[in-house]
Amino acid sequence: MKMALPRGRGRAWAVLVVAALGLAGLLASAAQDGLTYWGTPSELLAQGGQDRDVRLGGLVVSGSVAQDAAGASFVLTDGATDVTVHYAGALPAAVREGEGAVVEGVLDGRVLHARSVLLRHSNEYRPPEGTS
Amino acid sequence: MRDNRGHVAAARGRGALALAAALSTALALVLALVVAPPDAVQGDAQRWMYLHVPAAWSAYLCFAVVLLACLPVVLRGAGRPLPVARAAAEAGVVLTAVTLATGSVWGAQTWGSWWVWDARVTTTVAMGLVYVAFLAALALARGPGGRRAAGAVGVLGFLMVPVVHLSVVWWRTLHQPPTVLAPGTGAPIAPVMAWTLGVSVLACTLLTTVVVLERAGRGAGQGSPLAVAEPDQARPRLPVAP
Repeated sequence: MKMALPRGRGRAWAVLVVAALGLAGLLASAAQDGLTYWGTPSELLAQGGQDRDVRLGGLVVSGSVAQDAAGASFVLTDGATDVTVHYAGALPAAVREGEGAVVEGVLDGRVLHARSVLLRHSNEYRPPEGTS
Repeated sequence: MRDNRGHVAAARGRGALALAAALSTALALVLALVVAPPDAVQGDAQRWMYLHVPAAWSAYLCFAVVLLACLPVVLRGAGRPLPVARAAAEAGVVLTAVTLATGSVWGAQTWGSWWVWDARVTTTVAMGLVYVAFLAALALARGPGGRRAAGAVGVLGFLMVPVVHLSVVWWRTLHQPPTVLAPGTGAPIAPVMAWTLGVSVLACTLLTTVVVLERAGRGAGQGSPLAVAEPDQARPRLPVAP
């Protein structure tokens, strides 16, 4: 393997600069937005304001998931506060009652018009019921 | 004479290690793809865990090797362990990329998104970048001062490992908290899944060890994408202890 010295050093400098810039970018965005990915219903409602763009996380309330032709809705809770989520589209198949979800969208009072719905899953792993 | 015997023993040791790595990998594949059941909630997507977690663990391990190899460089100006540090950092960067790639696919199948900038993903990318910077600094190092500076990156860079691992505890993330290596009591995992994960972690650790030893021993990373010809690289094969 033949590698000319200047080329090797040039490439190493380029890699070093790109990596350092990338780290600086990540650090700057973390310093600006924080590393908290989502807020709870209680936190976001306490902040007040109307029609704010938020990222909300909570547990899907059992029995609250409704899906029809116009879209889907469900209720997210942190145990103390509930927010109703409307989503114009089909929910991912994996939306499960009692599991966590994180939704992005516009919060208007206790109603959130979601742009995207992300599902969290727990850190518990087990086979399906009935097998072992 | 002694040297020679040492080389023969080292070669035998490596052969045994490679065999163990191959056998455990075969066993891990059978366990992960055939024996282990699909997850009750996530279905077959959960099988990504058997690649994602071992890759992340092996990356942590590689960066621990970088730390240990760089300490004498920083403290005493030693130059010899650097080939090991380079080989381990290269493997660690590749394994970090594998962790991110498998996590991305797993996330697409369970979260509903290929990529999110939550604290776990962000710190993992940062960890990878730190070791890319380390490799570049190592390639650029000239003389004891340069080696010491690169060594300092290798030592301080290890701080990223606890930050990445505990990011899911310290910050609210989309990623779930740890199950096995969790602070306090971990979460429940079915025994057959725990065994499969254990064998997968062992297999990945052994494979990584084989690759790092091979690359560290073979002329100090000549095939490295960041290799820079250095006058002091022409040193004899290092009989490296794991």
